[in-house]
Amino acid sequence: MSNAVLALQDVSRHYRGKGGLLRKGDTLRAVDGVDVTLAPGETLGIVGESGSGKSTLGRLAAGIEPPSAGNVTFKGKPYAPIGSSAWRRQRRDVQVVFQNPSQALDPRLSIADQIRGAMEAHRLDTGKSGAGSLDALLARVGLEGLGRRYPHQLSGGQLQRAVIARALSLSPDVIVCDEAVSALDVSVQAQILNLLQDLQAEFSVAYLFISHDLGVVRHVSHRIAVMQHGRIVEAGPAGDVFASPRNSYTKALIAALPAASPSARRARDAKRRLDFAKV
Amino acid sequence: MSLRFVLGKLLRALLTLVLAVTFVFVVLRMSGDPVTQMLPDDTPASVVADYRQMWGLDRPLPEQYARYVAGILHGDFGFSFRDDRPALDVVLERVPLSLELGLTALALTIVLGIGGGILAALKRGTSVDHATMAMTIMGHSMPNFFLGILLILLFAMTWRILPSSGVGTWKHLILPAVTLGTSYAATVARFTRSSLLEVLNQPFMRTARAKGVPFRRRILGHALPNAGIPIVTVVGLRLGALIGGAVVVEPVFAWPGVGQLLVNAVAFRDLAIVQTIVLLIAVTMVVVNFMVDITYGWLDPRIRVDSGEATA
Ligand SMILES: Nc1ncnc2c1ncn2[C@@H]1O[C@H](COP(=O)(O)OP(=O)(O)OP(=O)(O)O)[C@@H](O)[C@H]1O
Ligand SMILES: [Mg+2]
Repeated sequence: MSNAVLALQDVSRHYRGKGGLLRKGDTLRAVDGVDVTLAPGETLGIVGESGSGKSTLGRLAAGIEPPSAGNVTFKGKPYAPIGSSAWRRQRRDVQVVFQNPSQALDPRLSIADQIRGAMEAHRLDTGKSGAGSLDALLARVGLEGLGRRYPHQLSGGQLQRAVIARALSLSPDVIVCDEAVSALDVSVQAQILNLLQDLQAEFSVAYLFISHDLGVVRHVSHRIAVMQHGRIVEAGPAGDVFASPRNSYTKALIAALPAASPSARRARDAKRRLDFAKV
Repeated sequence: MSLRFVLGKLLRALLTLVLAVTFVFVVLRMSGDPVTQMLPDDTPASVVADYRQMWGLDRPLPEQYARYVAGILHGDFGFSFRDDRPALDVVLERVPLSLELGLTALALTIVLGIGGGILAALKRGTSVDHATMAMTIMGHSMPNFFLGILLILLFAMTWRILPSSGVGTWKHLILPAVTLGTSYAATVARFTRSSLLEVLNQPFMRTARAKGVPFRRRILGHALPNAGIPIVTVVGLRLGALIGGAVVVEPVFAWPGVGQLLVNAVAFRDLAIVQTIVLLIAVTMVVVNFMVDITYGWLDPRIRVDSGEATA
């Protein structure tokens, strides 16, 4: 795909086990020969069980970790060597949103200052964030008037909104969301997922959306890739993967869906309560 | 910073001061009759009684306490019988020398301790880290007076490049300041290293890197301020001991400061001097603690700002 904003070709990431759990000399293939492309403005969902290599894939895609083999290209060009000043400048175009928003923010700085700090690092005019003024950006993510608050004064959902605003302030082409809603309550999860979807068209940003929760991934993704043991075992349009999974591992994931994840279970229970109330 | 926060800390500081003053009073009464302690053992009983009456020690305790507090409020800290002068005068004229030594040593502590700690943390696991930590263990385990004597042996006796004792020129300051300053630098270096490492491992530091925030800015703007609280705490402890903290080093180098005065006053049972120095140390501690509290609030909004209502 030539118009891809981000492309991973036969990318691997191996870790050397050092004694302990893994015997010395063993290599762990966290990501093992993966091909992935991300088109501008689309959402690619990555699912898989714990340890299947999703986060590692996310870090490779974001360019914050080098691949052991294969190529990662962003807009057709490989990332500059990690740590170089060219690499630092490239950080603006690919943003990351991780699981725990309270740990992703400096506890000492107000929300507005955190966003300003990110923009100043790239010499951007802090008066003009992605959505116009900083106040407008905060309002857009649902944090109107909360810019002067400190992280400890916000809820988990509000913090994740702040993290998203900070990412958007740099007008990135891609945001890697690694378990971005997994730490949040189900009702808040839905709000954040809807916000991410609303922002996508507005800011024309593509998401690499990583989650162990198939229900969440299905909700936001255009395409889905299923990972197991560092490889992609099935990929395709979200509807197809769900309607007619070809891979047995994918089938098992889907079969386990309602009860497997606590969030899905809570959602199901909530739905039952609603249905009950309607009767 | 809210006025309420500052006032709260100020109130606590005053309360601590009152407690310290009372504590000194109680301890000095409990540690035996001051008159018999000060006068020679063979003093006639009638003379002892006279002194007791003269110093008001025959009065009921509450009255003694009231007079004692009133005296302090008027700057009357008792009379040094050895110097035959008001105790406060004797102590205060020693303070500048102790401050000179203490502040020089503290500057050395901060530069070596914080600098070494930062270096070790940033170069974690390298030979720089190992060498720095080995030095802190040495500094930690070598007694203060021993290092002092060692330095005298080398620099004053063997190489004869620095004076071994006394005051006067900046050369006199070097050996005692190095002895006092390095001993605590080890502690500061260890605290700095571990608290900085803890912050460096925080997800927000990795996020800052992933956002392309330059190294200098990550360290100076995020890591150090967040690691600041433990560092300020240990440095504050030293600052609190600035005036009375050189009890060992001052005698070793014949540095005529408050520490040396305290040692002598204890030896000669000059209680008014001891009491004045203890109160002076208490005041320093309280003032420094207040400053440290304010610095905490400045460093950490979680201490300074109440958590507001948080809703999703
Ligand atoms: N820096 C590292 N050093 C060594 N091993 C690592 C490192 N990072 C990840 N791994 C290993 O690589 C494998 C894949 O980890 P990864 O975090 O990518 O999985 P994941 O799919 O994100 O899992 P989860 O759903 O639990 O987050 C795991 O076995 C993990 O232990
Ligand atoms: Mg993960």
